[in-house]
Amino acid sequence: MNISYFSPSLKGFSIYVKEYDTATIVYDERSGDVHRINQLSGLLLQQLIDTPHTSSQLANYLRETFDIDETFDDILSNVEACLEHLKELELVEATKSIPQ
Amino acid sequence: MRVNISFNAGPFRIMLEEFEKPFLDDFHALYKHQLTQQNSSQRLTDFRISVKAPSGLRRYYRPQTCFYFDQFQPFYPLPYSQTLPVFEWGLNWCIATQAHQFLQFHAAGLAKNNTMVIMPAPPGSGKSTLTAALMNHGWRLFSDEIVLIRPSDGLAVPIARPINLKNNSIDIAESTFPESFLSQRFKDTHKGTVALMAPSELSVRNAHLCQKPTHIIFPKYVAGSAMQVTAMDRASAVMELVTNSFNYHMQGRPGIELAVSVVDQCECIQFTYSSFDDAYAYFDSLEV
Repeated sequence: MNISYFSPSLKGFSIYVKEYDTATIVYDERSGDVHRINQLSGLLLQQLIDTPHTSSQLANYLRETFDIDETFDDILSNVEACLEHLKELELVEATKSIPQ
Repeated sequence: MRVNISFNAGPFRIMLEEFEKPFLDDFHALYKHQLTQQNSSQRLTDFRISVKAPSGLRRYYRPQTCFYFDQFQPFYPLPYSQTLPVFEWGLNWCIATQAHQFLQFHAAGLAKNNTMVIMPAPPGSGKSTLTAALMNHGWRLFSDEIVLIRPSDGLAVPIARPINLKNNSIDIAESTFPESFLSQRFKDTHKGTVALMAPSELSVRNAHLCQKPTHIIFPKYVAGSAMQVTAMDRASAVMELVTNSFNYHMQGRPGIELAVSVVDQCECIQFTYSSFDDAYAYFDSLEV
């Protein structure tokens, strides 16, 4: 089974995250780009800035913290969609082991 | 014949070293309030500019005009008849590319009492026409093109330069605001026909008064429409404002933090209008 750990891909660069009611704004210091991402992606990004996580760990975190009335698989599916979007924006990267 | 002129435009001191004499009357009328101010000769020049015809045959055959900033020529020559707009566009370029001590937005800025409005908008949205209307209605012009935000205190810094009106808006401005000076029309520019409206004396006289932005308004002129005011979510406002920033990326993280703080302290609004009277009533109601 392949397990990927996700972490910010901006090592050595600062990342600025501003949460709003409707969306989250992220500034990527490396590229100078500003991104608008949905709130769930913003929340996951904040978690990854603190510590690398797998998608399952993030799904568990959401289920336990927010008492979400969805199946684990549904939550995991949403998390994976968000992570894919964050990867496309080059804000996070996946590695096979916990990044140092 | 060419002349040298030195004047202040808001926080900038401009040395116009050479300027073509046939355009001087318009220039003096557009900048008459700046030119009559006491300008300290001690102040360092920010932008040393020349706008002049090239030497040689091109003075006579399809005459051209060239813009120089510190003897550097950033643009191809344009027709001689466009000398005055070339100066205005060139000065905009100087500010946008050099004045990184400020966070800059491509937007209009106006203030009345404690209300200071930033109006970013794409070309064709009626931004300059609305700006001219509000200035003639007693609002203080900060700028028609570039809003400067000072990082140290987040205040908007006025420049108070001429308003660049285009195409149909020139006729509207000429008939609606006959008391304001409007330059001759410059035809066949890359923006169509343009004319420049002088900033009001109130705006120039108070160009040293910086002010905290209170509203970010995205205007849109839609002929025949009823006035529509819609609150805009702040995340969208940040994205719009950043899209209209010339230099947030030059400032790195402090730049985006400043842009966010400007949005957070402002009401953000989408404003659709078709009549000046509606716009006057709405803008005058923006009390802080």
